[in-house]
Amino acid sequence: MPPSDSYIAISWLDVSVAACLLAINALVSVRLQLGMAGRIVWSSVRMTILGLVLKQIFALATAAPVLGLAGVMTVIAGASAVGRIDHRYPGIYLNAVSSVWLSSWLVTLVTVFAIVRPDPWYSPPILIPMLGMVLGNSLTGISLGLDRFLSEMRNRRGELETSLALGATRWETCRGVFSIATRTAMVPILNTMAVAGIVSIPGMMTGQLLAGTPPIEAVKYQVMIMFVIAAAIAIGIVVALWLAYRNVTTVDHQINWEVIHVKKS
Amino acid sequence: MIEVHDFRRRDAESERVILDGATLQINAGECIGLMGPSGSGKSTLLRAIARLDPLDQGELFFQGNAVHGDDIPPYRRRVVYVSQQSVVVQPTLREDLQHIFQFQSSKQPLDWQQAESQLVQFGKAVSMLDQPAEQLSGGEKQIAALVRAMTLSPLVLLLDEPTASLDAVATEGIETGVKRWLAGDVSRAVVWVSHDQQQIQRVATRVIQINAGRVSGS
Repeated sequence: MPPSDSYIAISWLDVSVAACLLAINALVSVRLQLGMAGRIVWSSVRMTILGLVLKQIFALATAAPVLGLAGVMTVIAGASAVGRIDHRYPGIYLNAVSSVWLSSWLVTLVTVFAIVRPDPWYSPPILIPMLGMVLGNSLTGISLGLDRFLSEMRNRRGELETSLALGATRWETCRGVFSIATRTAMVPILNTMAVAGIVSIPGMMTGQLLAGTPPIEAVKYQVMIMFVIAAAIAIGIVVALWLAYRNVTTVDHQINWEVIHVKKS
Repeated sequence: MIEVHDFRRRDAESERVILDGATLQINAGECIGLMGPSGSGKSTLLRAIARLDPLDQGELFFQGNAVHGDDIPPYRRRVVYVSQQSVVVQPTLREDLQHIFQFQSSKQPLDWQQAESQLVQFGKAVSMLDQPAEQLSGGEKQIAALVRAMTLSPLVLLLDEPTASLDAVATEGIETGVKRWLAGDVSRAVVWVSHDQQQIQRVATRVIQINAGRVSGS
């Protein structure tokens, strides 16, 4: 979609003005010893690099590099999901990457082939930002859900063992924790959906409005992407929790407590 | 009734051997007192008999059949493990009982009369069924756990230091209640883990010692 006449381009000088505002965050971080200054600077640099990489990828306009970039983004998203979790079990990284991959790619491909239908289908300006939004939300959901699942398992050990000892199957034992974790994972997107249009104008819509897209078109895209994100989180968290559940329980209807451990700092 | 054959387990982190070829037989009508020093593997063996933890090696036979996979939940209703610090999972014992009779492995309806008479046998009022779980004392929680276990009509009770943190009166009530339950049917058995030799003398018909994960005599 080419920028409309109302689109106002900004220069690198304009960006540097915004960077001055970012300096406030860095200053606060330094003064309060929050240790965030480095991260703030690095994320700014990373965004700039991303812009340059995307420029190259968009210019290539063939499927392979686009899918390659999408793959790299997916692996990083899966690994980042685990990075935020306080507990671990063997295979957690592979499970998180698989869950993010399956959920994000599935809904993104449905979106591309059945809803947006760009030409070509791998059109980078459509596919990459769409996947990026789905991945970002999916990793947050999976991270929150897995963290809650593993911490609830440890905190409720007595309760869970009591159920097992009284004849519950492993699924009957873990189902409650599974539900709590799924609900936790869905909270951010449900909150976003609850206030969208009232308290906030979501990011994608803001971007489209700034680019001059008619408001009703921007709304359609935003609603569509919210549904897609919600679906990706739901699929991702169910797959991630199912894999976690299978990893920390045994076919003999036991919970293998030895495999759940706290992340070494 | 239960044959435990060559149970072996090593702690994954420390590599310490917890069970080292433990083998024993549990027969109908007996109350086995399982004794041993701290860290000898008493509780681990009891949990292993309940098939609550994975083993590195070993076989368990219940009434002549090997127990594994999906046999385990129904087995755990016939051979019930009661831990040292029992938990009432639901807000009240009544809801807890209803909850455990909804499990897939539950084949019989909940007998309220049985639950009430068990409570009375432990010297408790029937109203304890509806008392909020958080208001129950340590002794009452332990009695609630025993009543809950007995309501399943098990053949074997695996008791892991059931009176460890209780006073003399509560301890006596539990010992009497369990002995009465055992005497109620010749096909029943109890395995009672304790570090209290006097208690074992009071309740056990046979004593098994465990040391460094090895069952050393009976």
